[in-house]
Amino acid sequence: MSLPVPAPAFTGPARCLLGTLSSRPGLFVLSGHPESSRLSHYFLAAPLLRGEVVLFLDAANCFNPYRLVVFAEQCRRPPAQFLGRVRISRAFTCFQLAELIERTPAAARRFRARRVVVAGMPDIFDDEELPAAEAKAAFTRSLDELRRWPEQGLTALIFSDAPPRLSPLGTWLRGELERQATEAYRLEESPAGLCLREAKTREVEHGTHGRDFSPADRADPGALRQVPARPAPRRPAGA
Amino acid sequence: MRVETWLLDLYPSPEGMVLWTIEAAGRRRRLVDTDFTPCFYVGGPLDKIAQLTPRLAAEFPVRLDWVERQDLWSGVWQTVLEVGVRRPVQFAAVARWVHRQAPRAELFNCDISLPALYAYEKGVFPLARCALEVDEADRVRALRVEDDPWATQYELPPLTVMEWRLEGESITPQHGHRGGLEVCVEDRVEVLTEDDPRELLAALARRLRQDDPDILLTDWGDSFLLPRLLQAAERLDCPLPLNRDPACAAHHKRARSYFSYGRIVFKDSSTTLFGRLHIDRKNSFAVGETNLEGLFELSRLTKLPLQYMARTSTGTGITSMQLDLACRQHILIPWQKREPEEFKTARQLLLTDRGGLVFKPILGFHENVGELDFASMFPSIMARFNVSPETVNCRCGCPARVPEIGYGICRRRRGLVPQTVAPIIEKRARYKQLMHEAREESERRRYDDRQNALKWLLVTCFGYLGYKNARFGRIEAHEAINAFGREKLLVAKEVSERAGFRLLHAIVDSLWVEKPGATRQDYEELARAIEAATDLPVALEGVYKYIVFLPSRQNAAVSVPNRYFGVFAGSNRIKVRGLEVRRHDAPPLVARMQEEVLRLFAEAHDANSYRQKLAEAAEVLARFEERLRAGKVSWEELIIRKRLTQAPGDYQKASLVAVAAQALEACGVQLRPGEAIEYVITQADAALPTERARPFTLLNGFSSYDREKYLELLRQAFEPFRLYFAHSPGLSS
Ligand SMILES: [Zn+2]
Repeated sequence: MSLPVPAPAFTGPARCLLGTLSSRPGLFVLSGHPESSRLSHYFLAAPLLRGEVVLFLDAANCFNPYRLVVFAEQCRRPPAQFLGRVRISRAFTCFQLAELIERTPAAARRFRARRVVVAGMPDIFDDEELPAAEAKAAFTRSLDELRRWPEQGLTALIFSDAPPRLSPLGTWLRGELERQATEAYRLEESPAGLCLREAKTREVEHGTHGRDFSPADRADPGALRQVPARPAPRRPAGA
Repeated sequence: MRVETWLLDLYPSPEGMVLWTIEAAGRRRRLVDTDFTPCFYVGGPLDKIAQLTPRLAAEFPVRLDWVERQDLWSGVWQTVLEVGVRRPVQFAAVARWVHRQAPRAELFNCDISLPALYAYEKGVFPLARCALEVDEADRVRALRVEDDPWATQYELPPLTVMEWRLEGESITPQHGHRGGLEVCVEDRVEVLTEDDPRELLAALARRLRQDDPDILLTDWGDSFLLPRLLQAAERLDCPLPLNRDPACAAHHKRARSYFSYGRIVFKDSSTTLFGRLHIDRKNSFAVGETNLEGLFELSRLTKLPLQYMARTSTGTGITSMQLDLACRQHILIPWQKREPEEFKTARQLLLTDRGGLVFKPILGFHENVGELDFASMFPSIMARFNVSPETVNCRCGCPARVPEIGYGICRRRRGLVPQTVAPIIEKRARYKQLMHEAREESERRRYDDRQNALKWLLVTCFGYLGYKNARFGRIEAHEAINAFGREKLLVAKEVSERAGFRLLHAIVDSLWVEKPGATRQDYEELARAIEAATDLPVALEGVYKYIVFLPSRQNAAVSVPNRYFGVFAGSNRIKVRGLEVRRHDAPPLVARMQEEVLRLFAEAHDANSYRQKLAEAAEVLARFEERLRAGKVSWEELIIRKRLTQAPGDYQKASLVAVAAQALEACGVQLRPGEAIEYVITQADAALPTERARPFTLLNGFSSYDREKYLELLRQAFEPFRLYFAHSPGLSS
């Protein structure tokens, strides 16, 4: 493999986007794929390669350290280096995630991290066993906390899995989260690779409002091999 | 007036807690206890909370008090506001009000159900013997419990049980297929076949009044029988006195599907009663596994009402016991489970996030093999090594004690979980002893059901499955237990090998070892040696005359854990894992063939006699094949039962289960992900998908089954028996 960054679908214009995602404090929401949380691993490679520490808040029980080992091998780095730079905490209830979100700025200072991945947000708040009002209250508190992160220099990538059917609460949670996001994207996977479609842009920076970032934009054709190939029901326009 | 009674059921009402009691003479009574002020606690900045109190007192009839309570995590005593709610039915509303007014305040003990809070406070439990002081208005003036939940020999009230079930099939009538309604009290069975629903309702009402059962035990009562009957009763204006309490209507909760740890779970609807207990055998894990006797034991220990315990998991049961203990020790129970995992590096995660240890089996036929099991390994670890959410990496910084992962465990405080688990382990051991001493079969069965119920309590006090809802679960505690478990199994392996035994297979808490010429005594001694080295109880499950470790279904060269069959010396008991006979989804025909074959093999005692039996076994297979070819097999024997992983319409491929589910849905049957359906393979390779399989309830005279497919299933299921004797005489491949 000749590629240094094992997130190959994000090359070309999409790479600019990735650069934006990872260099500017803000809340970036990535959703729309049934397994968005799993795909979050691909976003770890770039900051890890730069030697940064990443906090991983796992509310989807999706974190897989073996993926980091594979990335490290692909980039010819010692796996221990990558493994030591990701700090993870798992949450199994929305209240645990809420608590974790509150504790994150302090943890980020302690571990000198600027980047935070949150997997399974807001999905974990959509809990059938919980009164909707309680879930909404906890979620709103978390959102208030999250909004303060960029001021503290944090970049958060928030991954939300798209279930086959969305409950009314789920729809509300996602809407609220995207409303507060700096930017929101749809993650799509095609046999050719991963691509991002802009869901909305609050600050139009690229001048390409609503534009699709697709594998067609990629620079290196060999790059796609590292992305899990799995047929997606529909390909984005322009692919 | 003083009455000696048993407590049957309890629930809140605007008047107070309603207690249904049974007296020895048979009288059933509805009593009300007004002396119950459930409390929750408010913590946080005291001045802020103090500001709240006048408004709270103005809004609700409450009793407010500053009290000292212990923090669960640190063990430190702190001052909190105790809010006693004088009208128990307002308990949740008052807590919600406080939460709205002071969203940053911490609430404790506020989401425990009222019956549970009442039981914890009064020390009472379902089916407990009590002495009550009662006034003329049936109000409880005093309550004394004259019973002990930890007793192993207790007297139960004289309960009348009435059973309702539909004639014939045991599959859900929601999917079609119904017969007459069987009503049974003791040995009297009556089949109600009235076509006119009015007559049927009248007959049922008559039976209910006549026998006045304490327990209505049904098959499919929750999702089908009771809701349909109640609907009909309302439509036709024919009263059906299901409830004893005239002030309440039956309570219906709808069915739902939800995701839990990557698996879709289906929870059926439920219909519960007041003053009488409705228990649906088909919707009760506890009754399904341990019968009514086990349910009674669970309710007594967990203090959860019988109808609730019947429908909940044993994990909820053990949580209730922990809550009870916390209440008694004045430990605050955080309202929402918030304590997350401490940040760890991915490298640490690789080290700590591992399950139990497995040594894959040495495949093939082995003689004279001993199986040694750590008895309730995980609970024993919790009890023995004080593993509990608040003791692992405790805040007082006690030194590292957990092998491999180096977590600390508190030396100052005994954890809530070990305190809960230890007496259950002990009680289960006493039941097992009583079971062995029992003279009569009914007695033996009773103790077996009870010990089995306790086993389930113990099993679920560990593990990810219960994790989300486990109030006292914490991932570091889970990891610590696994780490102890791995170390202990490793030690067991070393001790065995030092004593000259060869390890054939080991999985988490069991190991299979062999040594030529070893006697039962030798295996017993090995168990004692492992016990001494690990500090955990170890039991000899038995010595196998022979055991066959089987490979993966897909590849005969690949060793997989927990797939074997074997026969114990002495008892000739067969133990099987991973074969169709143990699987719920296999057609009964296939399971029956394996059962018959295994019965034959139970008589074999070594490889030679096994080989001889193999020819007879092949005849059994041939007989099943012949019946299948001749079309003499009943539909029931061909049923395949599968769980839906998604809604019928969401299946992309026309798999057998998808075809069957879609056919049911087309007939108006509502199916949810996680629900099980039954079907028969009609023509697996049919070009038209709808012809591949039929739901069991939609079979009709025109359908025929796929003989080739079922023949293939039979042969596949026979394969494990001949695998290591492929060239034996009398066997064709
Ligand atoms: Zn300590």
